[in-house]
Amino acid sequence: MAENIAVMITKPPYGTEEAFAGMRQALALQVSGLMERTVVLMMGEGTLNALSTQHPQALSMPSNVESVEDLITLEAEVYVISEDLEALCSDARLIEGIQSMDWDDARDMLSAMDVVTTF
Amino acid sequence: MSTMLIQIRSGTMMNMDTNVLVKLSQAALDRGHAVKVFAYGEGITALKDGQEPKRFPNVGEILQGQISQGLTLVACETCCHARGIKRGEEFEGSKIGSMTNDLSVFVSECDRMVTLAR
Repeated sequence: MAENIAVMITKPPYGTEEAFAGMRQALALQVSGLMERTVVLMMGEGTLNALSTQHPQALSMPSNVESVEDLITLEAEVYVISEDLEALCSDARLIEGIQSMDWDDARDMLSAMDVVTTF
Repeated sequence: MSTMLIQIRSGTMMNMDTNVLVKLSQAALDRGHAVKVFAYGEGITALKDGQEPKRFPNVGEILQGQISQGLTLVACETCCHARGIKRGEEFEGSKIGSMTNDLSVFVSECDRMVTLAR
């Protein structure tokens, strides 16, 4: 029986459905009330989903910023791997409510989760 | 008996992920485990009725056989609607359901979750 889930986001926002789909899935699990803890962990190029400076209107695509904000509003935990983001973006402004974490802490957190899925 | 949840996000003819899915699910069923499959994104094509690949394994047909062995197969309704697949187009025994009502229950009841995607 699983009481918590980590959704790892490895793909960047836009270009593919993956990051958006992963966050919508995390949101559905969070609102179901069946998970005690829903964690979204952005890593690699997935860390770009954490940026507050996205402009999806240029692509006429749904906003991944809004997806992240929905998660935070509904009290899912959203983390970004700091080393991965710094490697891609030197002046990153995060969406409010996202927490930074290094890989050591991320490994500890993931090992404590009942279920992990990857997008 | 343990319960395995498999999330499939690749379409039936995109790559070999659905072939891996049916091999994995059959192995688990053969060992007496419960298997639940949630199809998400392009993965929803797995339960479309009437699949007729000419030179490749018919994943739909194999899954129908596994449903008769106890496998549960549910697809995301939003993903189906986005792709023009409506209720009634899924093959018998499968279901167009939802993440909130079905996947969340599958996750809460599973012992292991495997994600098949690229």
